[in-house]
Amino acid sequence: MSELEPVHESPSDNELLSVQGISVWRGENLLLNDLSFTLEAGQVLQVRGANGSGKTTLLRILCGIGLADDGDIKWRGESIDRRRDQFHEELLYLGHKAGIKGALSALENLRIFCTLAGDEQPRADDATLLGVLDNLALLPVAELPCRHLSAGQQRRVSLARLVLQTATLWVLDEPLTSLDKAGLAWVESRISEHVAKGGSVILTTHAPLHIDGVEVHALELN
Amino acid sequence: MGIFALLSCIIRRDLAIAMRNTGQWVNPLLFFIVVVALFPLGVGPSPATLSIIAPGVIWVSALLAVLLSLGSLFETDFADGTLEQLLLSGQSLALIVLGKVLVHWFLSGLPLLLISPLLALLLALPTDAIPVLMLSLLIGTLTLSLIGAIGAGLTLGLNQAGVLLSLLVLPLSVPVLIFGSAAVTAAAADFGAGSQLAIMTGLLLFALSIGPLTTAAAVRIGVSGST
Repeated sequence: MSELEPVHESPSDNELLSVQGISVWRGENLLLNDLSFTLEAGQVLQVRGANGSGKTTLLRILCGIGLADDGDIKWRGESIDRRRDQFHEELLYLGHKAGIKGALSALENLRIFCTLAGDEQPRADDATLLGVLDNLALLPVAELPCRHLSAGQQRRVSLARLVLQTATLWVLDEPLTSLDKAGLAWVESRISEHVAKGGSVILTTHAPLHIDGVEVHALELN
Repeated sequence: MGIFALLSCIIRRDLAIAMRNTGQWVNPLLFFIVVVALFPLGVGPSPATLSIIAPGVIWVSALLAVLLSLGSLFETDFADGTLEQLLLSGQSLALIVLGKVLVHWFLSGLPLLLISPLLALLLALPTDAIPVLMLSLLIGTLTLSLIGAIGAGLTLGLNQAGVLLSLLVLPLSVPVLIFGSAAVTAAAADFGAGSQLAIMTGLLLFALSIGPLTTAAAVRIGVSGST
């Protein structure tokens, strides 16, 4: 892993995300102190740090669903607050919480995600959805309400979005939690495909990553 | 994505969830029936007394039943993380909120409206006033759902938000209560209820115009305030 390059003064052409001077206070403590970095197309950035070092807080701020006390985040050179909807159309966020409804089946949950993702998405018909669920070994439980699935299976349902939605930036908060080895390998190969197509990934994980042909940049929080 | 495609996606989603959580829409309805049915027992069965208090009793019970159901409007979506996914979908949050409010009304306001003629008979309300009662409940419960959603958005993620939610929403819902029961009282006394209903419609249109936008802003703040 290589250390992250310092912030460039002049943005390069394939710079996607630029973060400048993010600071977050939690009560009396300065959780994130003047954090700056940039992310270019095709880069993978792993945010590392101990529990409570602000990884989730940072990721939520990058997505625009968390508040920073100071700092500026730009997507393709424009502040994410000003062009929020355009930014969110190019963003895929997998949070701490799986983001799937326990009352609905895996199939129904994914259908909603595909519909909400908009018109530019490839048509997600049932055959495509079932194919993806089959790859994730979820076919036998595709019609069951998700609350009956195991934690790992629920995680797989939300990870299915990685292949069903087209987004440039993936922000993944602990995507490997409760996944088995096969699930881990599946995620790693999806990330390497995504990067090969010019997409970018920001993720947090405590598991070691082995992504073929991809250099994983590291951002240490302390 | 078109407005109607988005609305229908949200509405179908929330209806499918509600069909599998029956308590979500049965509880407010049962509450409404039980509260109204207790009044003849407490006040006495005299039709003269009951018919005087009937409009107020039905309207207060309806208001409380709608309030009771507001807590779950965003809270379950918030707890399982689907609300933040809706926020990040790149679609209009105000429209998403409107879709959710319409489903909320369909499940907690409409059943009250449908059962109300029966409860009106129980309270010896003149039958002539029943159409006005139903119309006032139709307009009024929709307004209450729209106003209540603002409170539900503002109290998102707070522990024990119920009391705070009531404190926020009750003052705003007082006009609906006043004109709703006044319309029914007027109709029961054989006066026209047109002016009260017109004011209620005005309140509904006002709530419709600012409710979803305000709620969307409140939900955004509520989600970003949590970690």
